[in-house]
Amino acid sequence: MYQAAALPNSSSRLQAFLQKRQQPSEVPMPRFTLVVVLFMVAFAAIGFRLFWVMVLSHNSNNTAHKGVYSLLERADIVDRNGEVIATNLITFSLYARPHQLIDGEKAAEKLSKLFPDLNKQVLQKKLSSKKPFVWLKRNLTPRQQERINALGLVGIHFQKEQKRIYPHEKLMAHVVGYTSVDGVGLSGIERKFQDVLQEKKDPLRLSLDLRVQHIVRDALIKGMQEFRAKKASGMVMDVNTGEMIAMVSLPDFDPHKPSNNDAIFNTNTLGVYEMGSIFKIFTFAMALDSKKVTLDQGFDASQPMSFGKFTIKDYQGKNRWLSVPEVFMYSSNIGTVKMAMKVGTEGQKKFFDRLGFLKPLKTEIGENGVPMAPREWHDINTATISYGYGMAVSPLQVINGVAAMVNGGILRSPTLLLGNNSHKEGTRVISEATSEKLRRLLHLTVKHGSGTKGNAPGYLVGGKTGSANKKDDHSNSYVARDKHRAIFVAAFPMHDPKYISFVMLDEPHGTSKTCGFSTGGWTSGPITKEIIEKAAPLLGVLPVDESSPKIQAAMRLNLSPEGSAHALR
Amino acid sequence: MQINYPLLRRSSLFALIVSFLLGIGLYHLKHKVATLEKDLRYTRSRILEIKESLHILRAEWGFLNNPHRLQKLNEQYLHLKPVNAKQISSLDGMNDERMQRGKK
Repeated sequence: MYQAAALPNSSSRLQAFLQKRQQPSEVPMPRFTLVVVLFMVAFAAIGFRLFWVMVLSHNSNNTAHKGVYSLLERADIVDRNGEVIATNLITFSLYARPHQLIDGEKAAEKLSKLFPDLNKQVLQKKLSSKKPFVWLKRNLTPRQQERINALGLVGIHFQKEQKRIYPHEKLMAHVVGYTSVDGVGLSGIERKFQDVLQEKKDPLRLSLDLRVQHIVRDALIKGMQEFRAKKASGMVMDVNTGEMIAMVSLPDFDPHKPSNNDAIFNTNTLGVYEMGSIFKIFTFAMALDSKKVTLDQGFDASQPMSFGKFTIKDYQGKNRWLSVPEVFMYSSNIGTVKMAMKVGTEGQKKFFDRLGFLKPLKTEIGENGVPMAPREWHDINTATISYGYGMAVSPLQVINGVAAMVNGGILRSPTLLLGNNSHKEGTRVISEATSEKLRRLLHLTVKHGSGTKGNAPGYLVGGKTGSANKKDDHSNSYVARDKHRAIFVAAFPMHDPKYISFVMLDEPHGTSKTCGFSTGGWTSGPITKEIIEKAAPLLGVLPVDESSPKIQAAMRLNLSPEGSAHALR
Repeated sequence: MQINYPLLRRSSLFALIVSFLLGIGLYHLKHKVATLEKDLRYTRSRILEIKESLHILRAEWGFLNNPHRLQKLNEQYLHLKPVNAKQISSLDGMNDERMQRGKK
């Protein structure tokens, strides 16, 4: 009854309802607007957010992928030909969360079987400790990781880590340096370029040539063994750009496990030494450039010179009058001192200042020695410095200075980075003509003088020997002749110098092969010869016919200008 | 106020169809984007993997090229000697020699 009555009513009720709805006046206008505005604001916000996400910020995706690659972010170091010298490897370090372990003893046994170097007792102790986290072994290879995974141990985990790797181990250790476990550079290029290596993506390119570096190191090691020397240093440099091609200091160290001993000391840059007769190159340059001495002159070297209580003598002297080229070729102290005296103390001081020998070098590696020069420069200092005593500089300063003497007279700062000096002009320290004369003198020394053992025929080598007596560390006086540094500086080819080498042995001993001699010419000479003969073809230096008239003319020197016939080229 | 019911019905039907189609379209687009993003993630991780292996290979190449090792291998198997200055000659030099031989 109720339903029957309700049915006809329902349609009329619906109509009434619809009629009510049709009357907007029943919904107050302001509320309606408010709802519309609210919806518009909400949709605008959603629209804006969509625009923001889809158009403006496309980077949001990348963050998820950064994790792994950031481990490789320290840039590589490569040599001048792009060979890898330092790079990073991802390794896996093993750690355990002891509380997660099911059977610590069993796990220790299994792990110690895989790694014989891990002590079982120590492992057991670690695995049964209460610590939430213990390191077990760092820097595993992928294969080792696989084997551990195969054990199926619970509570054993891996941490991805990066390790700095030096594929050539000791070869470049002094230049490149090494890093800490956390990848922070602690010496050499690694330290000086810490920030650059962290920020840069592409490799840092050095000027060193891996092959030449090896040739120098190999020759030095052999020489050190043959002459039972304590230390050895060797360098090769491009005379025209100042780029270092090789820099070796022995003994050296493995950058993967550097130890804090003498081997870390870079003798080439950090050590300062009296260079002995090598300095005669600079004295001759100074004297010839001042025009107070010419190649046609000569000096009496028959009598030792006295300076107060000092007496200056010649080693294996000729005891006669010597022409200027002969003074150089036979390395006469007396003649050299007389030449230096003609220029004088002030001139000498200025000259070495121009060469940068009075202050430390600025290089791309932090380790640079401070040169030693007399505080007050007297005539006696001028005399001894002229043949290499009383002033100590680093081997890098010497090779750089001699490079300027033979390259036409332009001094540059030495660099270890490829192309670093290509836009720098350098400063002129001697005239082109003086440099040309020095080239003849240097070649003469190798061809006929004290440096014949360093001659590499075909490469037109020019060089100077030096044997510097060592000072006793305690008494500060010079010790016996057999304790000295044997040095050989050589450039090639002398008609158009391209490269220069420096070899120094610390306390070499003579052998039967060298007739007991241990001077620069006898010990460092043959090492230099080997370096030049092996490195020159790699460096693209073609041999020349040394007897051709053109070369003969370029290297010509008159040995006894006042005499008549005696002329050597 | 007079309202046209059939018109309202037609427009709402239209709106319904449009929103339905848009819904389907959006679903497909979203699906496509998700697939593409998955591909992109996979490709990126592959690139990383390859970069990492390249890195390792380069390091290994460095180890294999260690001059000390090469020298040892040479001494063991090849017995090659360093180039001698006498073995190198320029074209001009060759000409000279031939001419000299001819003269003799």
